[in-house]
Amino acid sequence: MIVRGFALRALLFLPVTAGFAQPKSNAIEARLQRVEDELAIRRVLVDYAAFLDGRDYARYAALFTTDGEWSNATASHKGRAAIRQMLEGTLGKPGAPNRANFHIISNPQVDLDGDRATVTSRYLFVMRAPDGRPQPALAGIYRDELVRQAGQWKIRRRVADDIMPTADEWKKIIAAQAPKP
Amino acid sequence: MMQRLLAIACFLVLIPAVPAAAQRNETVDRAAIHALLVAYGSTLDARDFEGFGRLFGKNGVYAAGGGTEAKGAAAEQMMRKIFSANTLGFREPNFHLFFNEVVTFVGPDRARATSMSLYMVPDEKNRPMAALMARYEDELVRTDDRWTFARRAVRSLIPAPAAPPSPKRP
Repeated sequence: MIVRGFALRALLFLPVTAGFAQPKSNAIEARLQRVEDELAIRRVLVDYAAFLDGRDYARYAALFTTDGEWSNATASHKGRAAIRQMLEGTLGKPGAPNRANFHIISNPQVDLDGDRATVTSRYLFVMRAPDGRPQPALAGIYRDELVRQAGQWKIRRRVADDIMPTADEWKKIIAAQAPKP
Repeated sequence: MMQRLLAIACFLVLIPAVPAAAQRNETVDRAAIHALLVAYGSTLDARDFEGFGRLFGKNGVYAAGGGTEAKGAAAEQMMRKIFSANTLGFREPNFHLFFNEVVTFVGPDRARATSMSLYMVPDEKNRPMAALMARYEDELVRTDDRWTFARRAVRSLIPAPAAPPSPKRP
């Protein structure tokens, strides 16, 4: 009876002491937090493409910090207003229906460091060919710096690195497609 | 009475701890396995063959298709030769694009995965063109707190592998 009483007390106290015994760096809550952060960041990558392809410029710009920067080999745009202006200048008015092209985002690699993260992902820009087929047109890598602000992950800096074709080649292709006066 | 209290105490200790911990570990492992599958492409695309070989640990088998297999560090040398030979004449740069990733666990330190890829190469105008499509069938193992390929088999989908020669008629 004494032994059973001791065992009962030991079991009743076990959850409390077991909780304190966990090393902090390996605490399951910390590991879970890292996974939740990675999932939230992957969602930012997908939202970026969805808002861009859906011409939702306000939500696209809100993915960046207020001083966030978007850049590629030929230009840099800093701050949400400048980023939004870039979209209007390149893609036209917000909310316009778009069935001409879309982005596929793949291969996300997320490296977390507390409230900061560095992320790379692949983009494949697919356009509607003259015969209606989806035609891969441009491929590259996004290199991102993200920060957590007020519990939300935001893009502080995104560099779009056009690889196939190169930025110069892509510029010529777009120029050739522009309507002639 | 004492036995019932003891049973309740055991229930209180075990029920909240075991399932939650298991779920949380699985989530962490899924993230680590995803990173492994993506690293397969990023190491090859960067021609980091040494890093590629490390993904197979000491004993992991890489079955590249067509009966070509390599084990452990030999996977590094095999891929060096394949990329150096470039028998299909792919232009550069080129890269892997991954999708349809499915991971199932078969134990605390073992998992299986299937996924697919397109191998993108530049066409004559330097536009991205899908040159190959493949399916991966993986057996994964955790050793020393690190997930590696115990076996990765690559199945070519497009172009389809050549059909085996039809049996001769008597």
